[in-house]
Amino acid sequence: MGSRASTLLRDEELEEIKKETGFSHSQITRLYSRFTSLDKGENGTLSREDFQRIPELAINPLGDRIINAFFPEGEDQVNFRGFMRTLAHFRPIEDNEKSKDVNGPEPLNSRSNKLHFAFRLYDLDKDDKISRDELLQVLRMMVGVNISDEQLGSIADRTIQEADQDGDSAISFTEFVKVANFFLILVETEVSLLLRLVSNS
Amino acid sequence: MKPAKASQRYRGIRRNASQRYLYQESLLLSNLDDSFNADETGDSNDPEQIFQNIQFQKDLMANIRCRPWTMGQKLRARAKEIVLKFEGRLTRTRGYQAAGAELWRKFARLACNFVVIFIPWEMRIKKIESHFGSGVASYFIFLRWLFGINIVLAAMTGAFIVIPELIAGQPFGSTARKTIPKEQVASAQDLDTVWSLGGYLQYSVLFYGYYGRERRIGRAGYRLPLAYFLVGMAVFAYSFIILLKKMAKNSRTSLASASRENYTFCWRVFCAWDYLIGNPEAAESKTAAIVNSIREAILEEQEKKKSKNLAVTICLRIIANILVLLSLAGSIYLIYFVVDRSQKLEQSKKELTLWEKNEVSVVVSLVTMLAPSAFDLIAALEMYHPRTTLRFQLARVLVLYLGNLYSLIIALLDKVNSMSIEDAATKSNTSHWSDSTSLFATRTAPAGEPWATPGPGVGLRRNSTWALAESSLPPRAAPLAKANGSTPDTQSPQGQCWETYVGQEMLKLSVIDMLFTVASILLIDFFRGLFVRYLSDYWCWDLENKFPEYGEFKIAENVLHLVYNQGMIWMGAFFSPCLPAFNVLKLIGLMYLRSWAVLTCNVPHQQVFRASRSNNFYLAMLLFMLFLCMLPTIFAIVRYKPSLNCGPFSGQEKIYDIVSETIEKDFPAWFGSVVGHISSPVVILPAVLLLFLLIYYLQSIARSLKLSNHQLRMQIQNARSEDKKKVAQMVEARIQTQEESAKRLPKDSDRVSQLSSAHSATPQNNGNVVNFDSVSSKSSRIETVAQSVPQSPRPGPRAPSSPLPGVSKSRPGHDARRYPRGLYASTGDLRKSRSHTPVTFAKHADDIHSEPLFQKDFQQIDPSLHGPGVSALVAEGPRPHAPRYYIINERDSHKKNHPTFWPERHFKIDASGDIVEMYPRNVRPYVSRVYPQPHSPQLSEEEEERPGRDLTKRSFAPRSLTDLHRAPHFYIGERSESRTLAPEHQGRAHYQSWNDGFGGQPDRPTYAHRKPRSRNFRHPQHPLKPRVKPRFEPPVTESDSMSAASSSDQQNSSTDQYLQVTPSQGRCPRAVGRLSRRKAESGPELALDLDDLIYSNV
Repeated sequence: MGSRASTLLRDEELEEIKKETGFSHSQITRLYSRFTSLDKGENGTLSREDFQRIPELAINPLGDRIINAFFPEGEDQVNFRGFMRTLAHFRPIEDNEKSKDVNGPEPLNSRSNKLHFAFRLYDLDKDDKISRDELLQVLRMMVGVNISDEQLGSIADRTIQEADQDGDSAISFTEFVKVANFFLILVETEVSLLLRLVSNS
Repeated sequence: MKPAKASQRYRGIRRNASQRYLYQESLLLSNLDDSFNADETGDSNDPEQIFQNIQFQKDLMANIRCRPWTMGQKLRARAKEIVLKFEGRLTRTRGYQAAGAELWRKFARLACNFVVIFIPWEMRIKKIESHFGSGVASYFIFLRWLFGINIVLAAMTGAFIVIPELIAGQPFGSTARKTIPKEQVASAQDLDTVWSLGGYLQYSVLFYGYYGRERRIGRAGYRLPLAYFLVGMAVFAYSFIILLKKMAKNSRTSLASASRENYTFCWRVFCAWDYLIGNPEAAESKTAAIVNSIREAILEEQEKKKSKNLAVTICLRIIANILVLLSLAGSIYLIYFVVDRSQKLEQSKKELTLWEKNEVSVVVSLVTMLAPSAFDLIAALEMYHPRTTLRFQLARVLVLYLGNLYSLIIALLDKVNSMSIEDAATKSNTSHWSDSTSLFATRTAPAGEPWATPGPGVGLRRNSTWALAESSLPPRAAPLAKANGSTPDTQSPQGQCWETYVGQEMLKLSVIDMLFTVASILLIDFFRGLFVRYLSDYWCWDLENKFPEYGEFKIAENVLHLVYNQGMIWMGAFFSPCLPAFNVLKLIGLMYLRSWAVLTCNVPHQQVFRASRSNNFYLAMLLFMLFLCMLPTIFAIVRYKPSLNCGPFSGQEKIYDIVSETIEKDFPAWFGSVVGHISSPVVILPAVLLLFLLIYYLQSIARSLKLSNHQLRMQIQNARSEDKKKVAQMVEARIQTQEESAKRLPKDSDRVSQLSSAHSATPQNNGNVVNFDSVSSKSSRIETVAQSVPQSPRPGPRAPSSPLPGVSKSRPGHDARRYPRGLYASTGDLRKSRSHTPVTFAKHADDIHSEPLFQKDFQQIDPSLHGPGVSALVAEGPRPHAPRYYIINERDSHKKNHPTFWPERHFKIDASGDIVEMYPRNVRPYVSRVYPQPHSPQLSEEEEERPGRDLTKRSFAPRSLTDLHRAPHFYIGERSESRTLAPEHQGRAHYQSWNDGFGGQPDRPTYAHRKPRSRNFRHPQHPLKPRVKPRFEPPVTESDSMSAASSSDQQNSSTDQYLQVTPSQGRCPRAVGRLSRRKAESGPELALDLDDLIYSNV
């Protein structure tokens, strides 16, 4: 599969993708084979249905949002380039990564881009703010019908109240980043604590 | 290695840019933590980049040195640190080091993965954790930990007692105490004998009685009795030490991770889902967990505001407590009653049925099984917070278990008592009868039980044993056994060895407890699960959701059960050396059974509370249990005389005599005397005193540390909330000012840029513009304004009672000069605008910190800053739009309108325009009410303006408020418009013309006012609805500016004036401002949407 994929993928295209996304050659070919196996229509593009066949996405309450993130505004198909561009958000940041072009755009997998990707999962109307309604929708997706509306509403209110700093009753990206940073620190310390516990006991 | 991670995000020049930015910023925002920036930006693995960076930093240092900054500002630029930090990176060894570190890390991770294989049940526990959360997993971790302890205990007893006895001790059947009495041989293999641990089991290494009393066994002369005693004590000592150690460690870590109070809801909403879940079932359980956690959150909220009917709840709670107490007393009485009855039965009946033999253990196990559920039901009455309920439940169950164990052990000791009396009686013969009774009386007293009933029973028994004692005078086992055959008490030979009896009882209890656990798991969890699962379809109600449901894993009860179980082990370990080994097997079985049951039959908890997670609570209970279980054993050891016929200590007066005997006989004389001195009160008393002192001292230290810890935490909390408050205030201030200026041309972003330029480029600005300069020099005032503004915004701009302090300061300026009023007012405005700009800028800075993109942008623009002419920037016109646009998007809806479509060359215009235009609005509130004076002169001059201004005042004031609320509509609408407008802007770039009229500042501003004012005046009029207006405005203003820029025919005169005014600010500020503006703007660019990009290209 890998070899087939690599033959299907033109070299220059591969190079471009490499440049754009920072994936390695082997990663790209592997992802390409994955891409083609997902591509049931065999037309070189993926549709939403193709994505929904991925179990992790199918069961994810936010799966639709993630799938949407693959598709440019108003389009129903995504080609390999777009596919890779979105996937590049998930590429871990490597230590030895060097950028060839100094002036080039920021790598897609930078921390802020990652965060922004996550942010967009919640920001439905793309106004760069997570409003109460958007939060409610997300909550609704996650909990199903188990919890009443007003209760969810109060949760959403509290969430916004916690994160909101400029008093506009919505979570802006800046605020989102702040919260995320806080969690990151928290998680790091907790992980280190856990590690210590594990190694000690 | 960590800094290296961030490295590749930054490229050389970008880094430079960011550094350059950094020192400007460090001037502006002293309160921002720029360490992140510095660390991040300075890092790289690429030697070339590092080299560049170092070069740059050195330049920077040289640059900084000649600046008239304070030392703190210079230091904050951090250039030197970075140079020092990265100069070493260029060497080759550094590269090897990095590679080696990388390798090592990978290896460590591999090793970690490998080690996990050897941690028992790690995978199983992880699986459970993934399904049921950490609470349930903590039970299994606790179980595993207990398992570890029991292994050590079993190893200790096994290695030092059981195995030596098996190898070197006298073999089975060689002596009387190691053989089964003849009359019992026949029934020794019967099931019920084995079941009651009699027969062969009784005469085996399982129990105390089997061990020989020879002081030395085998060729090596192993001192088994001594070892038996020491190991018995070591079991307790080890348990104590390991428990305390664990607790200390836990409390350390729990202190470290105490604060998750912040952002709890954000955590639940944003971090709830585990994106690696690929299994539908796991997804289901994850969803359930999320629902639970949200429910829990809701519950917490409700608990907080719940106002209850006090009288009713108090009554209910009293009733509940009475019920609990009753059931506790009942269970204790029941157990005592059963023990007593079994004793009577033993005496009165020759053959006991299976039930009669096991009555005690069964009843005890039943009580321990059922009572917690009863408590659970009772707890529902109390309506406590779930966490409190859990605590109460735990405490009650613990009391119940302890009560059970204690009533059992006291009843047993009671029996032991009577046995030793028999012993004493047999030994001392009939003449001492009265003595022994008195002894009995004294012995029951210390037990101090609530029951007075034993009297008759024991008396009865005593009588019978008395008869027995008389019939069998020789106290040796074999003859006694023969004699016993005729007595009604069949158990007398065993009865002569009370230690074995106690050991038997404990082992029996443990076994039956195990059976009951298995039964309860099967019954309560498994069969119920089956029942609910398969009969649900045919039942008349919904079994799965209504009555039986699926079992929940009750962490508290289960953990307590473990504690209880361990207590039994500790209690019995001395009398039955194999008990720990048995417990190891039991725990293994329990682990598998429980984990299977949990995974197959249980559903995750409806309510998971942190209390269930605190392991230290469990450990404390375990410690408590250990202490309480040790007491009876120690008591028995100290108080009772060991049996004459069995066990390693037979023939001694007390069990612990073995130690003194060993010291006397096996150690040199001097050692004995030393020990004698040490154990004398002369040494012991001071030692105890010293211990008390130490304890007190450490206790006080701990208390003070706790206090300081608490205070520090409070400080952090305060600082955080104050920060938040401050930010909120600033934001409000900004909102208010924006509200006021919402419909005007000036852009906040421009102002921001102005501000930054003012600071970073003051030298350049100096002398250029009166206005500008004054403002920049007044930077100190910014703060005052910033503080004062927040107060005013709330009352609303229209409230005359609250004039802005900052404004009032500037008023004298107005008064003093008629014409310059505009100018001064504008400065006031500027200042005002500044009062909020810090906020926006701070935000920018935030962006910048986290945003490499910004730096890049900045860098790109960088050259343009240095570009000689403003005119050179014409071509760049379209570019600046995009960034500005973002700012708008990103931060405030309010800002959005203005900044968007000003080509950058208009910046000056903007700046001046700001001044000019803001004047009417900002002044508006106070001008109209507080300060009518300045107007009158103006009115005479600019009559047409006045009404306009007033109009704007009136019409705008309400609108501004609505704007505030309707922020979203606002910008959306704008956006579309702005797009359409964009092309127009690009075309025009006529700012060179502005440069000419630099001279007559004082006069021109007034003209300038006119124009903007008139403009304002115009706007308000067509849109009657406040909401619609904001949309229209920006376009109009833009068109104005465009017209100004192009100096097109429309509004000719005014434009000219306008143009003339603008140059007054001078070129340099513009350039600088532009650069800084770009800096500021490029930050938000990360927020770029696709359409935005498209737009910027247009």
